[in-house]
Amino acid sequence: MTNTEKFWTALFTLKADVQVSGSGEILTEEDFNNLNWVTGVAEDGKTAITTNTCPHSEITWTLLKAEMDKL
Amino acid sequence: MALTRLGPNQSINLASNVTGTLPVANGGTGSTTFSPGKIGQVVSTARSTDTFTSSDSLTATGHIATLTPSATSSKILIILGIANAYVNSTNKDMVINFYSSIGGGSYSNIISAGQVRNDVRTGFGGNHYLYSPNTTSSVAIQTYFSRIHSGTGSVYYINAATDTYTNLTLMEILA
Repeated sequence: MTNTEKFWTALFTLKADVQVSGSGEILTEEDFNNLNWVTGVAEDGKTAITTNTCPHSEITWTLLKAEMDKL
Repeated sequence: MALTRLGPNQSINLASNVTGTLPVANGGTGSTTFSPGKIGQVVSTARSTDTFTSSDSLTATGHIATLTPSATSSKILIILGIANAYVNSTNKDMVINFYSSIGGGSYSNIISAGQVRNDVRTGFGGNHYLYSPNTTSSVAIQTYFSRIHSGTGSVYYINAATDTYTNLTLMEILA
């Protein structure tokens, strides 16, 4: 399993089908803080509204890292 | 245009013996009846980093190419060559759009570049679009992507592979 596959498996374990975008491998808290979390849709009805601050209480870097380390 | 009679085996010195404008029919540029299109400038950016989303609405890839047109009448030919997109098994489709930012403003949608469809789990391809920004300000083109058709899981604009690059190229087409 690649690091990116571990990321997705761990993430969806914490919160099923959460919507997020990113690039590169997510291996550090800095990488985690660069993810773009979807919080809504813009007025055009197409474009995501995103934030770098994770809006989901179930997901933190510590919890995500712990799940990734199990894989 | 002045003419000179040539003797056998005599050649014309193009630097000193030709004046005037050569007609278009003879390969010249003297036409006043049409304005042939020309490439003003070309920029291209290559990207190979894993770029992924689980979003159902379009999010930025970070893959950007920027060009400043020399005239408002110029068009920009946008060319996207996707090297290695990936839709995982639990998803339906992935859609990729072209967005533009004029003069450093916010990005807005231009048009959908296409989709990686269901049952196509990995693939390469691309599309192009002739864009008329009507500006001489800088024009940044960025790809956006998302899941589409009620998929779940993640999709990849780029699923990194060794020495494999997705290229975004802009050509200024002069009027």
